[in-house]
Amino acid sequence: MLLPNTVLAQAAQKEKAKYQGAYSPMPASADTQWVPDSATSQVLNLHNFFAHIKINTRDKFNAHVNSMQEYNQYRTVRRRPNDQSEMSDALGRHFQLQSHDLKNTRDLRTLLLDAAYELQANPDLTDAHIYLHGCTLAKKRVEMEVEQFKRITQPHIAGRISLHDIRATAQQRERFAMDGASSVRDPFRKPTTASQEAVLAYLLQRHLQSLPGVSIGTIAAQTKASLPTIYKVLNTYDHCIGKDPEDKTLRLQYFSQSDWLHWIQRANQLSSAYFIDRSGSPRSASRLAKELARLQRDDLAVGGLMGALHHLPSLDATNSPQLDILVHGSRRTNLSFITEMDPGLERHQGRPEMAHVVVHFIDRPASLFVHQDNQNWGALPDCIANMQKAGLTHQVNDALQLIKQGQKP
Amino acid sequence: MSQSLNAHVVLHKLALALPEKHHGNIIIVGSLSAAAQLIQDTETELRTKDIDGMLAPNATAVIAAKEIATLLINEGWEPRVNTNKYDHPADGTTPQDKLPVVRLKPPGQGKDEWFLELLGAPPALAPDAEGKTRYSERVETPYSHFEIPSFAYLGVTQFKPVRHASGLQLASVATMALSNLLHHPRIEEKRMSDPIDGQQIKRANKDLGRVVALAHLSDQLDETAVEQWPNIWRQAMQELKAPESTRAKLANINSGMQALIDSYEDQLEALHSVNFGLLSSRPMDMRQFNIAIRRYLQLTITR
Repeated sequence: MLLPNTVLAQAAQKEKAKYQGAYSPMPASADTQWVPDSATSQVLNLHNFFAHIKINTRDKFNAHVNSMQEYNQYRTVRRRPNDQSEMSDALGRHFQLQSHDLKNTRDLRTLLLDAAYELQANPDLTDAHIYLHGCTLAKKRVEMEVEQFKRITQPHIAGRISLHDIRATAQQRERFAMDGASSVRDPFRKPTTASQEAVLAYLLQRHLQSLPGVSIGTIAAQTKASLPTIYKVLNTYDHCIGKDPEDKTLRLQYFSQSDWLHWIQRANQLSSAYFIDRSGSPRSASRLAKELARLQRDDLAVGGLMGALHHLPSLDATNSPQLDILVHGSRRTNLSFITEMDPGLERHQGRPEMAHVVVHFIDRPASLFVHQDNQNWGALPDCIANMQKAGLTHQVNDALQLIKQGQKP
Repeated sequence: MSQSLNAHVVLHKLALALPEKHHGNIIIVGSLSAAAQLIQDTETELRTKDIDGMLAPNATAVIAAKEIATLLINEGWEPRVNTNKYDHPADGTTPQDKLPVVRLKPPGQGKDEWFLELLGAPPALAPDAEGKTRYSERVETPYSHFEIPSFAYLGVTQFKPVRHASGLQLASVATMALSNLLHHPRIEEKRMSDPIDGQQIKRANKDLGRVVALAHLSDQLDETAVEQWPNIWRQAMQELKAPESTRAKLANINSGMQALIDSYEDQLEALHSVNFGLLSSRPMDMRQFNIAIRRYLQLTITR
């Protein structure tokens, strides 16, 4: 049985080791042994497990590791302040944790650990309740994780943790799907975890803007991605990454057409929402973009061809009749703003032959939107991915060519 | 059944018939004016019969009406009177409510296609002391006494009329919409006396439907047009020195339209009216009409 912390640490170590193997200018020679602190030992049973964990602190890319741990010792789940609360009733004081759209076991384990530490630190707490809203993990998987966690946790802690997996019923899901203005508790809630695509989007954006290299710590802070995720990206794209051993930074120094296509393909795996005009007199994409700007929402941006043309004015294209909108949020984000933009737009189930507005979800903590000319614009890589999704292959190739030539941005 | 007319052709014919000195006194209001400004396709024709001309200002309206009516009748135009309701010819003994309105059919081939109806600018942009929005003035001609009616809020169309190529003045689209909105802060039960394509609809539905059609057509031509209407309305009120009671109505100017969007039956009537009138060449279905109302409200309320 593996400890949650151990799993995390080992995964990070494994990826880091691979990465070090590729880049380390010198073999690791002085390893430091890390052991759990007393708080950890009091919560979990398997103290000795940590004896095997070693972290090389001499490697140039490890400088951030200690500071990251100090800054965020156990937590990879980012929350809003009101996601954590306490309540009291006749039965005592209860600790509550709320989590929305939880996607992976790592974050689930972190939640369980957070609850355990809170109970350990506050003996007068009667129990801890974790509420999962819209968790995308399989229900069975969640149950298994909880069971495993409780098996390795001190019984007086484990017995006081309850997890409530709140999911939409089939009927509710259908309503969400049918109703573009689906109700969510907080329509402006932003994603809290970053995927590999999100990390690469960040690096790509810096590459396109000819910005200098950044440390892994900065990448983690900017993208809010976990270390294992960052290392996976560095591993996958190591042929594109340049490093500066002096200031311990790295950057994308090259991104081939096939790298682009690979990234686009993965970025486009997220589904989009399609809207068609029902008025008989569709408004132009540029007019709809003006209406979008009028909403003055920082979580919305123009993407697609129009966005790409903003970044690459010399792109060989005229404006598309379709407006691509980037929404910084998950696919459950409230889309009622579309009706505010134009009451003639109606959500279409599935992908229509011709859409007037396509909404793409930027499901990562950092939107990378830029505000210029009174409008929010999506990052160029996202715009290019939208174009590919719309089947604008020629324009995608043209954009990539322009980027290669360094004409813009 | 109304005939189809080409707005520009009719305006040129009318301009030729009217003395040039009156071109500046008459403001064409209603669907012909709207069609001339909003329907660009010269082939497209409008189903209407009445060409409404408002004589302005109010102080000279009666004199101008007398001159125009006398001249046109001299030249062969014929009064069109429903003798079941009104006296014709009328004289000094005819009570005001029995006076026929000046409705004149042109001579020759166009005789049964359309007629000119004269209206007057109202004495004030507000109802009278009894709360009525319809005013009436007697016009004495050698042939008959007539009346020229005027409607309190139609007076707003005196603000910045648009000059047509014929030389006549057209009420601007924005002020025509304002006039209709001011007249119908709610959907009253009063129905039109003449049926529209066999259906007797509420006056409010006809007028509010007209506003929707004006907004829809304006928006097609210029995407910034309708959102400027509230500003034009404020300017019109100010320049025409509308009384405070009328200016205050701007704050809730779309109450009638809100009532329309809340009533499916009223929307059906309004749609019937516009599909038979301004939108006859490109009629809407119910869903499209509902969207057009919501778009109008979006452009004039939420800005």
